[in-house]
Amino acid sequence: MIGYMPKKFKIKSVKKYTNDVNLFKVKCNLSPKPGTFLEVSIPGVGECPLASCSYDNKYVELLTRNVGKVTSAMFNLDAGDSIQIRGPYGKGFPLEKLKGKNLIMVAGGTGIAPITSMINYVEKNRKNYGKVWIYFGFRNERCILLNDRIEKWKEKFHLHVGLTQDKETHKYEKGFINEIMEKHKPKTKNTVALLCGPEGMMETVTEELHKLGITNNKVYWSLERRMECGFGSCGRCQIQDVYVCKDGPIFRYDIIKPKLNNENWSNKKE
Amino acid sequence: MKEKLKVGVYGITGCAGCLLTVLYEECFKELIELVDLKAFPLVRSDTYKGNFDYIFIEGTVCFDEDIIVLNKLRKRTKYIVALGACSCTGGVPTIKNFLDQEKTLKLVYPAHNELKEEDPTPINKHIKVDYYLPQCPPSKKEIVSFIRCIAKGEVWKDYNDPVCVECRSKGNPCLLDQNKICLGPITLGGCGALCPSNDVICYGCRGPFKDANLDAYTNMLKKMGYNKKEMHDKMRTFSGLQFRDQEGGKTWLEK
Amino acid sequence: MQKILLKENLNELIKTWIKKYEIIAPVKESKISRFKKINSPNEIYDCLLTDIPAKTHFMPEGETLLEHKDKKTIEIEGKIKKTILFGLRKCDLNAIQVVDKVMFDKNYINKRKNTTLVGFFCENPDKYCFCNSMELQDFYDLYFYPQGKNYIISIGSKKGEELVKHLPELKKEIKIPNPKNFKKLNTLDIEKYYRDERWKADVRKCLSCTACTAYCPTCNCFDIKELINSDIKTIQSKRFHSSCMSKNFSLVAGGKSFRDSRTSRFKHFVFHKVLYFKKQKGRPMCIGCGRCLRVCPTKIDWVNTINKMNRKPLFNFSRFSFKKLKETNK
Repeated sequence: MIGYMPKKFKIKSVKKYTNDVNLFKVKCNLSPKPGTFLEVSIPGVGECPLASCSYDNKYVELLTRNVGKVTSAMFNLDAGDSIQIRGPYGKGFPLEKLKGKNLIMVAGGTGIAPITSMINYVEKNRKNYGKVWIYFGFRNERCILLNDRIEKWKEKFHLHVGLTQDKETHKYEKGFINEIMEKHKPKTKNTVALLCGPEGMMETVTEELHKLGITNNKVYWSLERRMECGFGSCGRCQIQDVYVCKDGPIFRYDIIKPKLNNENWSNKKE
Repeated sequence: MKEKLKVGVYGITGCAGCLLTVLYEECFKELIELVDLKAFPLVRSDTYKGNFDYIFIEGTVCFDEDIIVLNKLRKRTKYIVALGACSCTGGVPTIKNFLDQEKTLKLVYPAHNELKEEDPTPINKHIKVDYYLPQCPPSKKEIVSFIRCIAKGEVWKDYNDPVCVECRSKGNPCLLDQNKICLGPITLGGCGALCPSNDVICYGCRGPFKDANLDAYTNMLKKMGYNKKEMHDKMRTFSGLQFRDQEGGKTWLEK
Repeated sequence: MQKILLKENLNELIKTWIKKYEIIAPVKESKISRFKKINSPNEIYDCLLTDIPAKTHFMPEGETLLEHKDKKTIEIEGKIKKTILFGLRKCDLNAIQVVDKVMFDKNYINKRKNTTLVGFFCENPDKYCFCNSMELQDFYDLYFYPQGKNYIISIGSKKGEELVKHLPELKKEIKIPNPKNFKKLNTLDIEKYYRDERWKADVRKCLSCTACTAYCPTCNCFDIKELINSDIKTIQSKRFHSSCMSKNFSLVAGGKSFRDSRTSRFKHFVFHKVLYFKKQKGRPMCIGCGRCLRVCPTKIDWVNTINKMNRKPLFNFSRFSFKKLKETNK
């Protein structure tokens, strides 16, 4: 039996990354696995699904863009305020299946959250995983999220950051992620790719991966849908016959591709 | 503590019903900690000279004087909120657009022919409007939750479903089944299906629902035995200027 | 096990139940029939199907799930008195079985636990019923079947047995037939029709009024809204029915709606009812009560559309090429 009862947690700190993105560090013992999500709520406002961007059993970190009702209310909160969380929900990344594999992780914009949680996990279980390539895409230098961590990870992994709007950058690279990937050519033998971001971006990256020799059954997509209950009751997040909340939000691309294609097809036709 | 929002409530040509709703339903009573009601000319004389954060405006633009008032108010505030059907979509006064202008004027004002008239239009034709709180009269619940929302700095989300959605989930008997022209399927909801719940057809006071299937709706009415004039009469009651003749066509305002 | 009861004694039986249980039965109220609490058996309205299905008993519109007060949150667990849901048809009973498979929260399960389902055989199904095409199962606590002067009562569970303990047992069990049907859904395997052009005619007629989903006994989708009470101190999280026919259904923060077009929403409704749910849980979600066909203001008949596609599968090459030919001739 599952309830809607959330637990109350205290916000430890709030860090501002860009104009509209904050990182809320919340003291919380729910320890969500990478790729799962939490239902964060504020009484009187509502709930929204967010992924933690760190893997730790003492706290969760919510990288939040100020776009919706709940997230805009979150931006009024400060360290010391309390917030309600229930979860974690979803299946997350198939951690067992990924053991012993090389990983390519790709994220765009705020889609960086579940990926960073995975990077965290890999850091903690380094010997279980092979080589790791990380590609992050942002609009411009002002939009870069978690730059402090990116610097740290640059020393440990093959990490590349691509900026799509900036014409000149010193620290980072120019262009879309698929272009950068083409340039660096990650190893593709025994490699699995984990993607999170806008669906258009994931599509082009998957095409690029295909060119490099990674087949669709080795690509995992993290999808965004409206998830209200978190356990397959409210029916909002269905893509054809799968629930994103319960069966996902991480899907193997070859499984989800025909379903997405069908939905997009009938979305276009009117 | 954050500074309180400075709010004004003004009216241009209209029945003042929306202002009376704000007054009699005591919309600001429970919000007094959140906002500072600087001006409300209906209740007390307007002596405030400073700027506002939010101004609520009721009424339709019917005279050139209204435009002058609107432009002045726009300069004094950060945001304009259209309050009620008249200021959001034009309201009842816009019926005049579909009638013989001269005749109507003589009929309504036989003695005051010095009035400088404009074609009745919603206020967003003249100034930029940031938020809309439609309905005739607007509901207290919506006004209160809107003010609470903006005072806390949260995002306000407009209701975006036709009237039918709430009506159906309430379990009302459908008025279309009873062969009445109910504007429910093409009207923006959010009112809790107030009229249909009381066995009165929807007159479309909240304005058109953007995503409505107008072709299917008119076809259905034709099958029910209504002609174009009867449909248009109903559609022109409240928000005539905002409705379209057919899917993808121009609104009557654009014509 | 089956028991027997004289038809004229039914009212007596209900009267004995009323003393111990709360009875919810079909009632006609301001032009519309729905399930409601009754105090005497005379209030029961005898109809083929209630307009509003029995799901409102388990998930009433705007029911409170959580209450936030003085910085504390309480969960409302949906505790109800022992209740009998009386006068359900076979399709209604199956609808409850369907919804059982997707609702997992305390509130629903508590209500469900305390409710006994009493079914009634359908004697006069109308032209909209197509329940025999939808793989219905025998699912009930009690099921009444009229035979001559008697009711044959089939017992499906212990909960049901308790209600008719004192009645005489039927010596030779009879097989309860399926209700008659005039309409039929010819196939459940509709996956290949997803890209068929003939859906368009239906979609063009759709007003997105969401009547079909509101009246569907298996449509359980909901929205949780937070409402602030007028005293400001208490905030309630309430559950409202929500429809996949509305654009807002799949709207996410930032303004993207994942089922943006009416076509995709309509198809999702039909395919979820017939195909997707079967893939997920092993049986179709639609139970063939025909309420969606009955209430549609523009009389969309998706069952007929599927039958048409079944009769003439594949999309119409002949028409397609003919049209092209015409254009080139111009």
